[in-house]
Amino acid sequence: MIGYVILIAIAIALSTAVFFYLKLYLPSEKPKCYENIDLVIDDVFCDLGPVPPGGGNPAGATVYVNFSNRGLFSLDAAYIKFGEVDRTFRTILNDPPDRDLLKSECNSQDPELKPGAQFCKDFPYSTTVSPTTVYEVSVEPLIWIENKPVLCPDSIVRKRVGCL
Amino acid sequence: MNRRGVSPVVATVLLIVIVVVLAVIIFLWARGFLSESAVKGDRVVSISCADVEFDAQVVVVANECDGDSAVDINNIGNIPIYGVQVLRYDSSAGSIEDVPLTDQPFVAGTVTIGRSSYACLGISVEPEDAFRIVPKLLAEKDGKKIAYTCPEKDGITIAYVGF
Repeated sequence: MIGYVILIAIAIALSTAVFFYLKLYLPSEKPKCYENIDLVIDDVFCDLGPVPPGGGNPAGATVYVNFSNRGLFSLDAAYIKFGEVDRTFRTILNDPPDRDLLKSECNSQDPELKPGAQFCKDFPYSTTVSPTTVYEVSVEPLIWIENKPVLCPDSIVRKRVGCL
Repeated sequence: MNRRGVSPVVATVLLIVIVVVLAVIIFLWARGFLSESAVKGDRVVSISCADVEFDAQVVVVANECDGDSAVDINNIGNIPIYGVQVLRYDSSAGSIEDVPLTDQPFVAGTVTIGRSSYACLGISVEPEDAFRIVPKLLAEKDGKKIAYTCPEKDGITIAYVGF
């Protein structure tokens, strides 16, 4: 009788060990961005800041970004980035993944960007800007799934802009 | 014919001994595996490496690095990038050089999701150079935080070097 008890105990212990081993090594299902997320950048303007008294390039600019949600899902946030078109490095103009960042006058201050809704806002850009350089604005959508922010790398939209 | 088998007691003892020996062997084998693995969250870190998504560029002259070369990173995925390993291919010599960098070389620290950063390389870069940028992730091993360098297959090759 004791033999059977020991056998069963060992079998349970082994199966538990194998379960945790497999759990550690097998890929888990991570929250993934939906497929039908589609943004369109409608307008981008870049207004140069004042030229410094000694001359040279302005120490900053104001970037106006206007985009629409043409997809099937509401967006919770978006990373709006600005930088030189020849560089991968981009400066983030807003501050996701905090919510409420998609509130704008074009969206009736709604924290979500619902399908068909539009976002528009001016952002200050404090790095030196050259009027001869081409810049790029990129917008990467973000949604919250199971209380976690999930980026949508397949839905990034970009638009080139010169600063005037 | 007087053939007798082993008694039930001996058979049971034999069975238990065999199972115990098997359990010990499997335990030792698994322990060797587990102690070797660095963990991120509740998974082995190498699994997270496959989920890293980023753009990278090697810049010959970066103003932020006082005119030195730099590597730009744009983290477009959902895994924070702690650092990078930069490998330079020398096509003339057919060799691969590991550009020395600290574990966490990025300005402003870990490149969290959606963020962008750069690291100064401090090496002379020619426009025809080719690089492979391999991400490093922050993981835990034996209770300590470590910078885990992902397998080279999870990196990206940069054939074009920006100015």
